[in-house]
Order: sequence, then structure tokens, then C-alpha cells
Amino acid sequence: MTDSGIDGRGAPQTTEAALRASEELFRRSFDDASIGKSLTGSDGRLLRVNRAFCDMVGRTREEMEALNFADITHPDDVAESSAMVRSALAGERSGFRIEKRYVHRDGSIVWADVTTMLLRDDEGRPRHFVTHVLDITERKKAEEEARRLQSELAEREAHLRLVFETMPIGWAEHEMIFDAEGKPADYVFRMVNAAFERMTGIPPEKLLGRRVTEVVPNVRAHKPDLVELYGEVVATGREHRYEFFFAPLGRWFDVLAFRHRPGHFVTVFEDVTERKHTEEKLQQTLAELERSNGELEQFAYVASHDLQEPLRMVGGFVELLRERYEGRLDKDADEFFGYAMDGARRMKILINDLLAYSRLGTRGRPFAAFDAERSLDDALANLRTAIEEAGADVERDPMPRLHGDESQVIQVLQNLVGNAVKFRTAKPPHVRISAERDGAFWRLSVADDGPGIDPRYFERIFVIFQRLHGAGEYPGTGIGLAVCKKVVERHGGRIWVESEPGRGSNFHFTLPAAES
Amino acid sequence: MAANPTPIEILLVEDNPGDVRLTVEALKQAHVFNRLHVAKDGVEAMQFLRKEAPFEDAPRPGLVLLDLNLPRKDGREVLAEVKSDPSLRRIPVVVLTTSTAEQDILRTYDLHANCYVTKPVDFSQLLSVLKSVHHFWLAVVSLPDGEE
Repeated sequence: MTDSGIDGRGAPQTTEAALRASEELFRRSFDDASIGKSLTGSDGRLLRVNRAFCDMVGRTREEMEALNFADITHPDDVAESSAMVRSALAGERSGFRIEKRYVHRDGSIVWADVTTMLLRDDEGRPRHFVTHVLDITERKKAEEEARRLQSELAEREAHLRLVFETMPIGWAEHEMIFDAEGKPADYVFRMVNAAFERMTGIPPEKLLGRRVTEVVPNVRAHKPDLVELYGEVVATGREHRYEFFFAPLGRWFDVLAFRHRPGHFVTVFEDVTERKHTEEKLQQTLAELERSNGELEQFAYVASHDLQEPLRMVGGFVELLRERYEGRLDKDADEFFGYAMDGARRMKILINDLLAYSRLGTRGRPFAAFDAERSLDDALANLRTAIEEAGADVERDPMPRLHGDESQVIQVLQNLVGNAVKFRTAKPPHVRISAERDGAFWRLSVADDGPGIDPRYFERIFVIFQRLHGAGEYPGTGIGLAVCKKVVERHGGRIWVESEPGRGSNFHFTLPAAES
Repeated sequence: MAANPTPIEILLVEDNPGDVRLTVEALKQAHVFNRLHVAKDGVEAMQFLRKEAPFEDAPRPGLVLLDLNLPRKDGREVLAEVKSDPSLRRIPVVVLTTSTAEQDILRTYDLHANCYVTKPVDFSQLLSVLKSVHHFWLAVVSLPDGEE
């Protein structure tokens, strides 16, 4: 009896028993392994496969052991596997380890980490390949997912970077530095975008990692409380917005500072030099206009004031002449007195109107809330005689509360209603005063059924002294509407007319509503 | 309406001769036939009121018609001085103004209220103002009966 082996318990065995035991050992370690195992011939034929391998590719052992490894390998990976096999057979290598794909019975792909060793017999002739197959499908999926995510991330980052670098607004991140007492003392530039360099002319290399006191040594001279203000932003999280003039460049910037994470702040800023220049010019123009207006008003006032005296002389003494000599000279003289007196009378009204008009701006009272219902009451009371004489029918809607100069608004209502009563046809006039809300304003309207106005004159009637009728047809100097326009515009409103010859007129004007 | 036997004197302070004449005519129309004195500027007016040279013999006026725009010392100053002088402030002053604009300005000075007459002085305006100056109504020489 040959000693062929030792069994598991250390007792000697017979050859047959030893063989069987060996077989059993082999079978267990082969068949029951949790990883796939196969024995493959030099020609690639699957000589023996274990259960794990069969499960991996979804085939029975019978099916497998009739196949070549190439049959279950993904077509694209066959070449590599075969090359490796040839290389091993040629003695270039004793084995190989590759990642390859098998094709499951149901068509799905199984990724495998395959380790193959070529076993040779004692003469060195190839016997068979022993292969271990580890299913790495899950790992591969995870890897691919990770790659995909990474590519997506990279794309997103590239996009964000593009946004960051192309935005036309300067962007800079800073880290606040506090002194021993916890007060803001300085700050360091951490990140800037391309627009920053474009706008300030300072390249990132000169800034990043450096303190502002290094980069702009005299920063406190330009804006003494700069660091404190930013410190506030960092401490409170409240935004701070300001405009400042950066002297080294001679440009104006509009800056917004905010805290995006603790201990840091971001400034976003725009170059507003152009806008500033425009604003300045506007301010200058406004100041110029105000001055010019003031001069004009003063001129109008002085002129009309100084015109009164000579007019008084002419009018006063012609009146005395008329009183003393009317009917005592000839008929022509009486007629002459008539024209002279009438002229003097009209000139007096004109000068008074001009005087009043010139003082509308300067004499205006400060604005306050008031009830336009009362204003209309006053205006109608002032017009009572005219209304009665004309037999006018005045219809009124409820009036709102307004914000402005009450006495001037009374004037406007009085002028418009007075006009409606004055400029009428043969029949008694009908006048309607109404009000409608229009945003922050109220639109008041005075409508009449008078002769109407030709659209050609819609603008002209608001110009001072522009009358559409001769002196004999309707009384008045033509200043009423000019006064209305000046008052309404002083209140920030508009005045206009809708009318058709023969169909009456509707005057509209807007005034600010009283804040409730 | 009893007529007072001693008619008052009226001081008109006015620099413009034309305005003086117009005022004289208006007073005639209002049947005010009191004696009229004229001072042609604010300095003369104060001299007259204070009986200073050259007006040492000036009577005390019972009414002053005061133009606002005068040379040397203007009407506002005269008004202020008269009203702050205890011996003069009881003399009523009717201010002659050129416009309602001026009246408004005067009101802001918080000087005399309501005694304004706009130039040129006209008959009915003058009358209504004089009426407000009560005790002078009695001192003004006769209005024909029934004409109030």
C-alpha cells in the first residue's frame, strides 16, 4: 500500500481513499467557492465551471461546459482575452489579470475581474488554465456613475467660472481681520473676478492674499471708515451700499457689500462714472433752470410792478378828464375817452394777472393734505354771481382729499368752472365737475356743453395771454388757463383738454392724492 | 351821524405828484373837505408828526394816508415808527398800496391790518376804509345825509 496522503484528521489513507478525499477537497473548494472559478483548456474550452461562475453568467453547468470562454465573453473583449491566453501559452507570462465583460444569458453585461493562471505539467506542457472570476459589475457601475458625475461637475464648474469671469460687474471676496480687541482692523483679498481687474486696473496677483492696507496704502485717506463699515457687514450680516470716487483711477463706483459666509464679505461693484457725470450735468442744469426761473419770475414781478405807476397816471387822469369833460367837448372826445379808459382798464387787469402769475411759484405755500370738496365749495362760492347770471346748472361729484396748495387749487377750479360758465352758447350752460383715481393721483375733470375748442388750439390755450376770441366776444385776459397749467405742474400733475367744436369741452387735470 | 365841529387835518405822505392829485380828487369825490397836508417822503412825514423843523407849527393830523414806496424813508418804516411811538400810535394810518401783493407782504410784517387802500385811490374804496376808522367818521366833515 502506497502512502498517498493524509486525510483531514491526520490518519494515513489508502490511495483510493486519498484520491477520493483529494477530489472531495478539490470539488468543495472549487464548486462551492463564492467567486467564479473555471478550468479552461488551451483552446479556450470551458472544462469545468463552478456554481458561482454559472450564476454569474446565467447558464447551467451543462451549457457552460459545452462552450468556449469566447462564447460568453463580450465580443469587444474577446481579442484581449485571447491575446493574453496566447501570450501565456507562449511562455511570456504564467498568467494574467484583466477586467473583462461577460455576456449574461439574458443579454446583460457582467463586468468581471479575472485572474487566470496557466498550469503546466512536469514537462512544462500546458495543461489548463485556472481562472478566478470576481463579479465587479456593481463596482463598474459605481465607477461609471462617479465618472459621469465628475464630468457633469466639471462642466458645471466650467460654466460657473465662465459666468464669474464674464460678468460685467466687479466681484471680490475678502476675509476680515480683527485686532486683539475683536475690532475690525484690516481685510485680505481672497478672490476677484476678471471684471475687477478690468475696472480697477489691479491684477489678481497684486491682490490675492494681501491686505487692503498693503495694496492701497492710503485707503483710509479716501474713505476713513471703510474697514469699520465692512466690519459691520461681517458682524451683522447687513448689506451696505455706497458710492465712492476712486481717485487713483478717477472713476466712480457703486458698491454693494454683503456677507456670504462668516468672517468674510463680498463686494460687487459697477463703474458708474458715466451715470455720475450725467447726474452732475442734470443737477447743474436744474440749478441753472431754477436760477433762470427765479430771474424770470423776478423780472415779471418787477416789470408788472413798475408798470403800475405810469398806468395809474394814464388811467387815473383820463378818468378825471372823462368825469370833468364828458359831454362838454364834442362827440369824438367822448368816444376817445371811452377807448382810452377801456384800454387802461384792460391793461390794469393784464398787469395784475401777470403779477399774480409771476408769483405762483414763489408765493406758493408748502404742500399739505386738504379736502378738495371744500376747495370746490370755495371756488363755486366765488363764482356765485357769474353762475347765477348765466343761469348755469352746476353738477358736482364728490371730491377727494389731495396733497398740495389748497388756495392754488381753488384758483384752478375757479378758473376752469368760471371759463365753463363764461364760454357758453346762447342757452344756459351745463357744467359737471368729477374726480377719478389715477394711481397716486386724482384726475379731476370740468366738462361743459359750450362751443368747444378746435383741436388745433389744444396746446395754445394754456399759453399765457393766448386768447382764441376777440376782446369783444368774451371778457378776460387769457391768463386763467396759464395759471391753471402753472399750478398743476407745480404739483407734478398734467392738464389737458378733450373737445370738439360744437360738442363742448372737458378739461382734465391731475393732482397728487393725499396719503391716507 | 353828528358832524364834529372841529374838522381833523389829514396828512398825505406821497412822493408822486400825480398820485397826490389823484388822491385829492378822490377825497373830493368822497366829500372829504378836510385840510390836507402833504409830506413827500418818510423823513418829512416823521418831522411833521413830531413837529420838528421845518414843521414846528404842524398840527396833529387826525388821519394819515401813507404811501408805501417813498424815498429816504419808506412807508413801512414810517408805519413801524408811528405805531411804536406812544404819542403817535393812536393816529389811524391808512396805507396806500399798489397791489394786493403788497398788502400780503404787509400782513407778514404784522403791522396794521385791514387799513389798506389800493392806488389809485378811488372814491368807494376810500369810503369803505374810512368807515372802518370809526371815530374819524365823526370827525370827517359832512357826508350828505343818506350817503353811507
